[in-house]
Amino acid sequence: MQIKLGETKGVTIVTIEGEINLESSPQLRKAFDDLLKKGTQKIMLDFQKISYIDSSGLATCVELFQRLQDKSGKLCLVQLPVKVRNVFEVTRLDKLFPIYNSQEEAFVNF
Amino acid sequence: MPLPFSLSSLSVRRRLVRWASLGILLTAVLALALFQPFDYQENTSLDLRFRWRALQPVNKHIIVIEVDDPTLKELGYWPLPRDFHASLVDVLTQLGAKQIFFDFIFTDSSPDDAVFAQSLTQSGRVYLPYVLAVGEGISPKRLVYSTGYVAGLRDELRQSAKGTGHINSIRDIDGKTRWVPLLIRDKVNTHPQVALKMATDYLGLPLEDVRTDGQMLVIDGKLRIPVSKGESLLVNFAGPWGKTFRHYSYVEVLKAFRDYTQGKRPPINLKGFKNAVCFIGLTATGTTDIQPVPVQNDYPLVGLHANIFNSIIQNDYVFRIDAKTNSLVILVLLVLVSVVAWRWKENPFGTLVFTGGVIGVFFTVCILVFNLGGLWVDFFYPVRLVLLTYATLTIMFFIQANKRRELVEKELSIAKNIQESFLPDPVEHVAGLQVATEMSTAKEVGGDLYDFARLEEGRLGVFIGDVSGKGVGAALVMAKTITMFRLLAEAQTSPAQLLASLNREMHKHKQRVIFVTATYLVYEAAAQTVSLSSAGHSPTLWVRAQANTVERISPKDGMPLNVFLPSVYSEEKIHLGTNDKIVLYTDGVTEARNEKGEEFGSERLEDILRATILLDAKATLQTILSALGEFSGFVPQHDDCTLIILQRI
Repeated sequence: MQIKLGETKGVTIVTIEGEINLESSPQLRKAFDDLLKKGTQKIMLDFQKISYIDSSGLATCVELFQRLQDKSGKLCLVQLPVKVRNVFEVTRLDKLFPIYNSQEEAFVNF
Repeated sequence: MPLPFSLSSLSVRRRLVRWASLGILLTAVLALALFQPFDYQENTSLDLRFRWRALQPVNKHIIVIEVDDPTLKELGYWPLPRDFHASLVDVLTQLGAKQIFFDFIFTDSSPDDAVFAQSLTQSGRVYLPYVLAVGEGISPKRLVYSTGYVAGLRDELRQSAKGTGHINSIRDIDGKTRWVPLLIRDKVNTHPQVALKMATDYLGLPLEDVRTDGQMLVIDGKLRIPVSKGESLLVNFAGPWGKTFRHYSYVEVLKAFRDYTQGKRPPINLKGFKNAVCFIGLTATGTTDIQPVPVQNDYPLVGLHANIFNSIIQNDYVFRIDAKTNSLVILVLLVLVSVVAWRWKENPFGTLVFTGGVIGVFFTVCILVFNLGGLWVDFFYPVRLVLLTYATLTIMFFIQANKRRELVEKELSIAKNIQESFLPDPVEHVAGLQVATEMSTAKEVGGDLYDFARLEEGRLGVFIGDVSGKGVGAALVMAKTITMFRLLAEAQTSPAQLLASLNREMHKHKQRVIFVTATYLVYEAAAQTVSLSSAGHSPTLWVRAQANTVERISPKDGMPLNVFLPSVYSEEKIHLGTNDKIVLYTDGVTEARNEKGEEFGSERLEDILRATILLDAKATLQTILSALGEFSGFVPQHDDCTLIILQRI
């Protein structure tokens, strides 16, 4: 798994590539931790290059969501491949996270 | 009754014993270093250092005159008549040589002795050698004593010579000559090595005032020569034969002088003999005076004396550092390697690379200090100890880690037993349903869970869940969830309400990172209905025997437990026909992978369920399990798998 950070229009864009699983989740969690420590409020997770996400990956995203909410921050997910989107739908987590098809669409809603 | 000793004092004692034995071992190896073991290999390493050293500058006045093959060819056989020597002395004296040394033994009498003695007297600058009887096994570590002469010098010649001295040397066990005793004592006299005698005369120092402090021979309070305990000098060979000192053939010198006296132009520059110090020796093939030395395997021993002389007058020595300093070097190396091995316990390969690096750097330093300062630092014993330390520590850490792993495995197997005790007893029939269950964990313990709750009025609650993550953390949350479920199941009969209560309870504990997906259904035997709610769990499958279909039941709302508060859970209700099956599973089943990395998938599961529509719950479960096994092949299970099949009979 690879994580790239960028910022556009005041929103931190986290682009993740590869599999988010039990082994890579701690790395992702560390990246989120660092962002929260810096006081980041608006985070967009770009999942375009995600091939797989397991329950620990989901849990890591949920945790980020919860912590951001405590700080009145905002989180959204963009460009989910069909398979990954299915996982969110099955677990009903699509109702927790705002999910958009493109970054542009997400910016409108930030 | 109190124990005779406490457990902690026992472990302290064990630790003490361990440290004490380590200390004793370290002291032993360092003490051994004082005796400089493995001298044989150290000598070999010294030879390497000599061979890898650049050529050393030598005094330009030193000239070696060789009785070589051409000399013997022209002048006859060895020994040469002594009137030739007399001529050479005359020639060299006329040319202005400062000192002349014959590396030949003059023990027996010869008809030319009178002529030779006369030349010696006239010249007044010739040095002659003798060989002392010193016995077997002399070593640089002990003073050398003599019991008499092996090859003495004829009195007549001795009296005519400017000086005399011994030419004994020490041969190491490998047959090489490295050390020369500078002084050999007998009952009456102290005999100087001949080159020492020549050098002190050259420098104008008397050889009467000689003192030693075990490391230095101090002559007349001015000349300081580093020596071994036995007052032996480590010969500083300036380079291979023929590449250092000026060389001439014995016969060439005589012929050149003849040319000169006849007014011809001599082939060699005779002016170069002015102030020269000439060492005359045997180098012809087959002579016994050629022996192995560090720089070369066949080195004429006349060169040995030239090197000693050069070393003394240039004040340029090589010497072995003392055993105490060597021990200190060893201590530093061992501490360095031990500390790194300790720090990098988990990384024996890294430690190996580091140890190799330490040896490499140490080797380079050894070569460098020899090149620059003539210092001989022990190499083999320290390296041997470093490697031994590396091996010992690596094995020790490996055993330690192994013990720890065994302990963890034992703990995990205990945990597995405890976790299994949280699961319900196996049931085959309950409330008019046939039940088949299967659970297997990816690691020793897992995060899947299920339970049956026998409720009032013949109702049955079936609960299945999956904790995010795997392993011990997930197992603990599994135990907590199942316990909370049991506490709440009796009071909350509606699946939606139960999940909502469970979610609320879990939020009280404020444990993030982990969530639980779950499905809870309640079967009412009387009405033959199933009410079902889901908290983000995989859809439940309803196999309808009559209609010959498989339907997914997936209530609209319901996020995993411990994600969001408050969470709304919707409920679905179905009527179960005869032989209908309800299949509950965790995603470990549908996400099982094969060697190509493909997932088993819910379609495949549904296909099997359609194909097994006539089979009972147990047989269906077996079919799914064997299909899963066949699909996965040798790929290890990566997630926990749970399957529950209920069939109305």
